[in-house]
Amino acid sequence: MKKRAAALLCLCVLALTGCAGRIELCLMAVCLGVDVGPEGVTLTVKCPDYTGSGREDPSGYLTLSASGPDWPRAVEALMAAAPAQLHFGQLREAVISRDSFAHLPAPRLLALIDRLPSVRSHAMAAVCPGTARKYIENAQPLIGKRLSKYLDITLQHSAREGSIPSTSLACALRDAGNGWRDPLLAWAAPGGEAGACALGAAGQITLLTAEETQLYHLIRGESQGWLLPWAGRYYGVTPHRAAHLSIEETGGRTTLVLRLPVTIVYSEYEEAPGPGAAAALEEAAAALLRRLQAGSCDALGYGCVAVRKYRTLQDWQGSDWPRRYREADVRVEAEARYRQQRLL
Amino acid sequence: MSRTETAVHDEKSSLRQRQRALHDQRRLMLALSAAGQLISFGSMYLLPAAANAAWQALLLQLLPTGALALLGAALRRTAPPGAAALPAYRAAAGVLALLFFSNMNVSFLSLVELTHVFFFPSVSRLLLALAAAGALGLGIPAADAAVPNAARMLRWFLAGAFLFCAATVLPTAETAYLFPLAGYGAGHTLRCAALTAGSVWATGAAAVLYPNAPGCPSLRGRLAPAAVILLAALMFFFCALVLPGPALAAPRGYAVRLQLLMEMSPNTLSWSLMLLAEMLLYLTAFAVCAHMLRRSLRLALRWRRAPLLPFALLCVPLALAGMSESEGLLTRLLPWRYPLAAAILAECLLCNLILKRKGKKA
Repeated sequence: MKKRAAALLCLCVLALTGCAGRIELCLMAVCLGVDVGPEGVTLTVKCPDYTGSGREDPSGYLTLSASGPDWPRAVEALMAAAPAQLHFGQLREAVISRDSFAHLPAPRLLALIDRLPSVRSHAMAAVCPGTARKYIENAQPLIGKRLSKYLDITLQHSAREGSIPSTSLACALRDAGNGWRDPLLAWAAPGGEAGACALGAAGQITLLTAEETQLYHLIRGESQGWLLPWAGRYYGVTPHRAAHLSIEETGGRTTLVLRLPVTIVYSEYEEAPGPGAAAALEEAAAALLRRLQAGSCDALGYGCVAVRKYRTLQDWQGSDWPRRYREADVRVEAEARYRQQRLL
Repeated sequence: MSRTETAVHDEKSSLRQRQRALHDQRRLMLALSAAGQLISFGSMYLLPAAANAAWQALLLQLLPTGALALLGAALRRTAPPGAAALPAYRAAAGVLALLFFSNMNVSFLSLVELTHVFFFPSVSRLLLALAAAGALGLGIPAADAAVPNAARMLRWFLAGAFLFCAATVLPTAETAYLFPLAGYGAGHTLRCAALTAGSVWATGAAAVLYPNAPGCPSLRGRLAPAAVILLAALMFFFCALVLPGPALAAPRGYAVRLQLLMEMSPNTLSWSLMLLAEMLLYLTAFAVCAHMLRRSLRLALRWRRAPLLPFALLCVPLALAGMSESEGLLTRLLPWRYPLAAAILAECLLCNLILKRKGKKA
């Protein structure tokens, strides 16, 4: 027993050798950019420069980019271009250029990113205008020195505000192409403009503004609040509970019904808003739903409701849900409560 | 006089208690082996097809498990004295050794795959498989009580890990993912059930391998196998709540499927616990199968000792063949194990009844 304990203690010594682990010698990619075009695939990564030379970037980050005629060869080229082995275990953001989806379907593209060696599936999936390469090159910590920390804080803050969706790679992969629900990815504009990018079932892309994205989060019951413009004033709207989605089928017509239980907050210096405020909210929610419908993006998950009527997956796949969703009527019923906000 | 009676009585009751505890341990050991195999099969075969059919198929396992347990109990009751020495029992033990070897292969395959993907991605698979086979072949102790004791200790960790994972997974759950209830149809669910039923035969095999073990009077011991399999079924139920079946239907590797499933929960601790629990379960399942293999070989060939290392090394080729080839091979072969094991137990039962009748006539 004593010998075994001594052997165990001796083995523990191996753990005291400092940073000799293979992973710690790898280049940890913080951001990944993906551009798919007719000429091939370009992958760009930004990772901390451990060499300490600071030649590439005074902020201490290396930007590596590689192209190939297809995905595997682009990955090979990127690995070959890196001065050390690339590791995606610390990835914070995977940015895909908007035009990429025209050349490669979203489920396939997301699956390919998720198959990168040791990729962190919690990384936020985002879409950018122009090229992702340029976006990654310009990515810099505006506050502090660490890009990973900066991205963590800014992305979390925006997601908490509801101005961007906090969809991770794994969640996007789950939702893309399964017919239950479509993913809503963050919109990464170079100027810092927030919003969302709704990926349609057939590859359509619909851009949502930051306000629309906040309204989407309000409907999902995930938002802290939304500002409702009505009669020249702004009223705070908070979700009372998560919205109730249902589908009505009457005479061959499908109607998407949204019951929205919310609390409209007004200050003690104002009068209580009338039913017109609830009607304005209904209108805004209906407009958002129609925009998502036009882009064939079921981001709210009406498919989750529709699928319950089918016994087998074959029945569900034969139901032509994407077309029915696109052509369905919309009805929004806001169940508004009014509350006066008091300072004390 | 009265002192002597008390001493004998104490000795008998303590012996009974020890036998009861040992029997409880054996049942638990078999249950953990079955749960390990179920999770392994579930991860590999069922989830890619339809997650919502997976837990239904696993719930269907309770029926064959119960049937095998009843068959085993009947076999134990009717076992003639010295049953292990009978040729029928020895032949049965030989076939059971082969079946336990197939279980060892599945556990080894899962272990190597997970270790390769999550711990040592840059190490070659051959080196890893050889190292794992060597470590397991030499490291698993030969003592009869070692594996049951380890299994006994593990159960609370596993139960706690499952509960924690369930608590963290449920907030991200979507009940709609359970629909359509029949997945790809009743036929597919039944095919999945037939595939996984091949791993629960171990619950009845103890009757052949431990013919003279006393009956277990405690309800807890009797329900242990069913409870652990139910736990595995519940785990898959949570998985079905988190991911829609078609999301995993794409031809992805085993580890990627598992990773996708585990990373649906934003809680890192639950992810780590899930991985740790799976690794421990595979490890226990491997150790249990190795123990049962050696025991059945001892019974079949009257070996004094059967070394584990050659059998562990024999598991290496399947782990090297790659997951898709191994999956294809195992999917074709393994469903036949359940009817084979049931036929062996039924044959032994018949043999017992014939011997009993002959004994009565004599």
